[in-house]
Amino acid sequence: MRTLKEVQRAIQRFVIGDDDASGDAGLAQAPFAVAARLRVYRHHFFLSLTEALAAVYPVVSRIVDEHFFVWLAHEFLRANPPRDPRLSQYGGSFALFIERFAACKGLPYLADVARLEWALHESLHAPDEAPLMPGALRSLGDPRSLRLPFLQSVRYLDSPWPVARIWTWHRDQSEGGSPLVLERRPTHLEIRRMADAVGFREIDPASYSLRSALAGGGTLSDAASAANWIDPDFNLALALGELIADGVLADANVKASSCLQDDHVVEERAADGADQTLGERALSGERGAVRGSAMRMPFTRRRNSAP
Amino acid sequence: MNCAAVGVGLRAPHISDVLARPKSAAFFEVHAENYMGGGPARAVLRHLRQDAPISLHCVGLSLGTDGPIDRAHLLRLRSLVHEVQPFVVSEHLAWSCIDGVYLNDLCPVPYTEESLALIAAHVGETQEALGMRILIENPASYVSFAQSSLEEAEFLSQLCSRTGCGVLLDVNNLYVASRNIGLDMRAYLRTLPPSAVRELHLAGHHRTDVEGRPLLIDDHGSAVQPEVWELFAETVEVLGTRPTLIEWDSKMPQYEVLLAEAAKARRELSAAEGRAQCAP
Repeated sequence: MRTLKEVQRAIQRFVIGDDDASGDAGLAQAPFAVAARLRVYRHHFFLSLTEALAAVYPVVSRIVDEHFFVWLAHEFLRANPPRDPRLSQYGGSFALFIERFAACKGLPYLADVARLEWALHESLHAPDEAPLMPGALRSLGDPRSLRLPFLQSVRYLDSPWPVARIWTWHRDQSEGGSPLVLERRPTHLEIRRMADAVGFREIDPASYSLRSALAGGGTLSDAASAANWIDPDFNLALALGELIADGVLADANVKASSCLQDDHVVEERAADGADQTLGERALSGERGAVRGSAMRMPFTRRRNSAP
Repeated sequence: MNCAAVGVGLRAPHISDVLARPKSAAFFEVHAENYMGGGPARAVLRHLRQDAPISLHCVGLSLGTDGPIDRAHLLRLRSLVHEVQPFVVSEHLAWSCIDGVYLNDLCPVPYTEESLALIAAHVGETQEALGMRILIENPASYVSFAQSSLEEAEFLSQLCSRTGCGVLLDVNNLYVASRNIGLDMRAYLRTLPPSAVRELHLAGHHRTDVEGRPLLIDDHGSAVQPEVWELFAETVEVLGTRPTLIEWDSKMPQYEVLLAEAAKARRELSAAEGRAQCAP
């Protein structure tokens, strides 16, 4: 008799694509078509998770052909099956996968569009937290070693491509619109959630380096040095005032009402911070927003249509 | 919850309908995993719970996994339960994860003493963490296992007596399983202890052909089929009336269509109420 673990490993192997595993699942032969029945689970695995990726990456799925997206998603799924029971957590490494996927080499900006969409998605689902009120910073001690708590819904992302424009153009794509000019132009984005919507805006490189270094857990003095290196005239006092006024900081003394585990959050933040590089001065002012409607979320479904 | 109460499963396309008319169903059931972050989703639930009873239906605890329960996930569920104060919490007689990889599905378990001991331990751990009894839903099966030594209804009954959990009887799943793997529906209803069954589910299924033979797929993508309504009437006759949920997950219709299904279920329950026992 097979142990439960052997049965479950066999079913899992079959679902993810190994046809030979059906014989190891210990299924009853009656009444008919054992492997075909097991394929119901495989079909659901690929279809439901491809739909989930398409919901998180609507613009990536628009940039590439629909059939290509399904192929890309299936290849990604096989190599990176979910490791978390929450569907909303699935797909964070899609950008990296795209970057290394040979067939995507012709679209060098695609991975960064995916990074932007993941940041929007994470921002939408981040825990609810109390923002830091202006004035609260006075009591925080030595500014050189000061680390500022950012809201977990605030994300920073930079790209050598005009990724904000690419994203917006494809989202709004319609017949007869102005053509998209693709040229390398560094972009520095701040992504955040306000009320029930998430959106992004371009910020100047010095502010970006200050904010992203702080958000990555750096000290104020290190973050200020980074900003100064980009812009020798960088005005730290002014920048800090804006930071507080923009409401991107969290009040660390107020407990988040959501239930994401703290250790998860720290890991995500650290990963974000490690990803950042400093770029050249960019034009600011381009903004994008998506409604935070629940329609965008990859909601779990119980079962899909027949294979 | 009133035994003739009929709720609907709240899914994303109907959120604005439901927020506008929170009294349009007796309760709303949501998949717990969709509400474990913050932002607009959590806000919807926080808002709705003030106007309507909420049932949390979990799809990610993977109680049937041969391995430890994901404690971090259980703690997330506990926080959600504390905030939302659902009148009932339910999970499935299924597994979705092995060796840390999730299949985003409710996979079947063989009905053996080994599975029973394991799932009973996981149900016990969950109930202890949540501080409340949970309900376990019967699966829509496509396969069965050569080594199963217990009938599904017997397995569920023993699970209830070992852990004090209840049963969420999905009438559509029972019908689908009876057609796909030959479960005896009549015997099933008479094996379950009526007092353990605390909620019923109704949904549509889809018929496909596999190698020339019909296979029913639990796709929740249509109205409840006539045969399932018949089984519902029989279920209520045998077990008594119970709070009942209409589920619809794919090819989503207008919210009114769900309400029409709910009204139909309510008529069935009201007709049976005089004759049948309510849950104790």
